Amino acid sequence: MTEQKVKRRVLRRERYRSRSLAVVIALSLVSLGAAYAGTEAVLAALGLTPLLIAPVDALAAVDDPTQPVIAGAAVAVLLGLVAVLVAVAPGRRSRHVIAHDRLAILVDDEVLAGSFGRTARVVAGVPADRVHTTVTPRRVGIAVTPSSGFPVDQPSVAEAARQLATELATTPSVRVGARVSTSGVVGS
Amino acid sequence: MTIPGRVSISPRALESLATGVAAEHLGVAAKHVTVRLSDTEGRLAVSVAAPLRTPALGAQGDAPGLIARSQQARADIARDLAATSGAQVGTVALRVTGIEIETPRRVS
Repeated sequence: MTEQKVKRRVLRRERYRSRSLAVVIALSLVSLGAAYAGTEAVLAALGLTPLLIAPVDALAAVDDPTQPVIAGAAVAVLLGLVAVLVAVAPGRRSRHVIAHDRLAILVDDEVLAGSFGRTARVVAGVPADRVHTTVTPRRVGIAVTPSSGFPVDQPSVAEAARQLATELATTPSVRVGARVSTSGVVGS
Repeated sequence: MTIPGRVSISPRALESLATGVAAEHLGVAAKHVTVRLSDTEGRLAVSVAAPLRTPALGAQGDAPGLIARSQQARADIARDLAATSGAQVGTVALRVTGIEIETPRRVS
């Protein structure tokens, strides 16, 4: 039971990008800023010359912003937006989980695309470079360019690919779309 | 039970085949026949440039005209190329580049 939980946990961790790097950078910036503000406050309290700007002058600058202050604020807003984006975006990696009762199996999307492409080209009877496969989290797209004069049966290609999708039972599950180009290429 | 693997036919092979078929139906040597293959909506588009063999004037009074014979040759080329290569032939364009006149054999 706990083993199952660990497996689920591991698979999830491998499927999503960790946010630790973003967190480390954000917290470093915050702590640097806090250290600097603290230093200036202490210097001002002791009546010494400030490092860059005294807290009183800094507050005045906020009330009556000059060009560089506005620019700095704009940069801060941009950083904030990036941080929000990183936090909210799913951060999915291009991988899929293949169902197995004992093993945790992760497959890179490139490998998955290769597998679907192979199935499609065997059914369609075209060389490998005439099959173009794209894998997104929820969709597999297969595009086949037939050899001139040798029509490719689109339904059978789609059916074979669907069968493979059912067999693999990936998480997240994928829908299969197969297209056969109307124009072909001479020779095979 | 089919054996795993696949057959591939190179464009050159297809063109040679088409050249042979065209030469036979035009009644001229294959070396005078130029064939280019391309695609038309997934089918073969054949374009042939070759001379046409024609009986000498007066040799066969009831022979069909140039146009009629060219049309017939196009149809024959399409049919035989499809039969020999297994490919679907979409269009056959024939450009007659010259005439080879059959010189009547003299009875001497």
